[in-house]
Amino acid sequence: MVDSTISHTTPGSPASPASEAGSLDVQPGGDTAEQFPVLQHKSKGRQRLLRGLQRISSSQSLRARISRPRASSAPYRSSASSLSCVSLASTPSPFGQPSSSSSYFSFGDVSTAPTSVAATPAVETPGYDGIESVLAVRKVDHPVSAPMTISLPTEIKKRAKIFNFWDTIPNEIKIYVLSFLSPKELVRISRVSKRFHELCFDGQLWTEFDASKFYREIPAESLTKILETAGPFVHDLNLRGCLQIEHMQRAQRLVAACHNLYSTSLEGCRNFQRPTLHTLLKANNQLVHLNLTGLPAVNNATCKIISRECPDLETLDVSGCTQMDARGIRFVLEGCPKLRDLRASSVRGFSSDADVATAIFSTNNLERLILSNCSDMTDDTFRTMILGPTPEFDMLTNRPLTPPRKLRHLDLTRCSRLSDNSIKSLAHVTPHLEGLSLSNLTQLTDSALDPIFDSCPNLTHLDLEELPHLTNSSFTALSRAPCSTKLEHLSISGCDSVSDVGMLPVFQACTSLKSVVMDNTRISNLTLTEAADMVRNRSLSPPSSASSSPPLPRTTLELTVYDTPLVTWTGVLEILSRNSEPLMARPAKDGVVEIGGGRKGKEVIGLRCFHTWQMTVDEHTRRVLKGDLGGARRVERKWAEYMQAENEMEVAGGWRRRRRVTAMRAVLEEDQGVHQQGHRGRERGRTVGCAVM
Amino acid sequence: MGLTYNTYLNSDVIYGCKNCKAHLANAHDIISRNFRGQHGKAYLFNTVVNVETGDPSERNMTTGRHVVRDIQCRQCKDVVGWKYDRAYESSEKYKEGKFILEAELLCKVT
Repeated sequence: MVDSTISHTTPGSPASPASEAGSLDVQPGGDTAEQFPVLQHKSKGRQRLLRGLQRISSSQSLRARISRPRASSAPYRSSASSLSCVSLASTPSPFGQPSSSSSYFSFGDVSTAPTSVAATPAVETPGYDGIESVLAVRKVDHPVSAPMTISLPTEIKKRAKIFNFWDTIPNEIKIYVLSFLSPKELVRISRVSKRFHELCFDGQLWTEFDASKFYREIPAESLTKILETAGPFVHDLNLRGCLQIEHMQRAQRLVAACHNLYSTSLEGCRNFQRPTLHTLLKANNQLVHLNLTGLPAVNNATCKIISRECPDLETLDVSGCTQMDARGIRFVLEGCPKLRDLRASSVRGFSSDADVATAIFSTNNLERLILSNCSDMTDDTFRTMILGPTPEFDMLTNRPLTPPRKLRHLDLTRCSRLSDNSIKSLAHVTPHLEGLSLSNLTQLTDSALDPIFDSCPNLTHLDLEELPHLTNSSFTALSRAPCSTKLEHLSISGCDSVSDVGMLPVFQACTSLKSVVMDNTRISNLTLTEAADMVRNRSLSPPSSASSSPPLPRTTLELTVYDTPLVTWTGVLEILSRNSEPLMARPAKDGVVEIGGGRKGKEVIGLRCFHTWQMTVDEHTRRVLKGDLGGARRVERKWAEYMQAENEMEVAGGWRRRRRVTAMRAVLEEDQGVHQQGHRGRERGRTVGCAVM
Repeated sequence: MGLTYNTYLNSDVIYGCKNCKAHLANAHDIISRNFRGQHGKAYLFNTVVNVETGDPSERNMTTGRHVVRDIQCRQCKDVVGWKYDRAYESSEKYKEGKFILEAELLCKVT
């Protein structure tokens, strides 16, 4: 018994009579081929048991068992056993499988043999009864295990165990794999090994460095090191808010390393020094997008350098650069013919230097021009910008004969010195205008806007906030204008002369509206109803033949109507009830009623109203967007009851009514309580209408 | 204390300090624009960022007595508005904890 077990565990043990002792040496020995096949059949079942038993055997065996064959083979394989391997190398491979597994266990320390001895004989593979007799013979004779060490299967096993995937794949694939990691993860992984370190800081992984996600956490030294290693590979560099750069001259190292930049943003790096900035600009001649918002380091000399060194510049943002003025803009315009997008808000000096305006006019390449907060810009300057220094006028129509401007976006917010005279000049000369912001130009009247609406058929964004002289006639003109069907965003916040008369036609005509800001105007519930009608009409898609379950509702129109005293809770309730209506049916041509909105889904209006009602509205919208129309209608009903009770209480108050109202309010709040934040519970004031503070 | 980093907001329309363009608040956070401050119009916001609050003081406003604190832009230390700490009238309680930013001292940052 003992020997048979030993024969399994010892590789190539010799045919020596070791029956009594259960000798524990690894005895090399050859074996004859005929014993070999028998042994293999036996070994399958026995191995399983052995495996199980060896698991609970002493640690030595465990260590030896799970260690790599290659490593463990050295101490346990003596030359003699290898001899046995050689001698049996010619045996056919069908026995390779079991023998390999047995050879696996043959590396086990022989000392385990005694513990596993007793149980082994109990297990016998079925159908191998004859083996036992043979076994018995062999037990006496000699333990046999040479077949267990057939080299071929071991080799295969060895390869399977030590195959190092990562090392063998080519570098490009490794880089591809690493490219899916975020910068933070890359830095973490770089600590695995030296090779990983080299790989992780390979420049190809850092071509786009966007620090705006982790600008607070990354220490200056790491930032500099990464950029230095990546060096010329970095194309897009976004260092927004990285104040730590200027610590101890690190910026200079950084700047020296990056000379292939394509797009850079240094927004908010207020510690950046001027010489470093200049070095950066001089080194990067291929810059296309440049954002230097709010940098005190930027001055006119910087602009000169930009114009000289970066001829390919297309986007420049120098908003809030207090140390430069309009002359710098002129340098840039003269030196960068490809400039398409110029953002120069809060830049001074537009009126003192007449050439800037001429420069802007002559390069007809600008598509986006943002000159907000340039409060010293005068009418003449702006007219020159648009029409040129000496425009000619057509004698009959009195229209300017300038070639059309390529302007698509124009922002003149708060340039309060501009008046009708200059804004009128935008008409007929800017046919491609899509976005126009004339907020806070308090001198403007209708006469400036009407010609613009007539001649700019592509307007999508219109910002007309705080224009107190605007009246309803502008908006009726807007509703008749060619751009009415394309208009998407309209803001008339603070235009307190505008009322329903102007806005109703707008809502009827402008069917692509996505957001309308109408706070602080004189609109009333009628406008809200009109808006709801428009949304409902446009959500009725033509009957679709095979509409599966429609998608969830989505908010397609945002209305902002706080601070409007004429919008009461009934108007808001109207919007809510329209939102919670089921999909409308619309009769098709052949009289069959089809469900409209099938393919597009229900369109919901998002509403921002008086703050006391805002919670109810939010809760209602949440439920509608989830598809829970029944729940939304419950909220509506409760709120309507509550508001009516409050109304009655105001009119003819009494303690009974007051109690009912407080009870209703509690129920209402509880219903919405799931989504409430604690502190907002107190905000439900008792005012019914929208009280002006 | 270390470097004081600015917080940056993500939105279509962001209001910032007029002087230094630091992001202050999101236009979606406006609760009402119907307020008046020392420099004219003022907006009531739910949350603002990059501001430091001063000491509380009691003031009489058009709507009653309130306890307010002045807020300053963290970067340029300019006063940009105030924050309501406490409102003594119950109809003004909704303003507690909210911020007022003066429209004159703001600019749109996009």
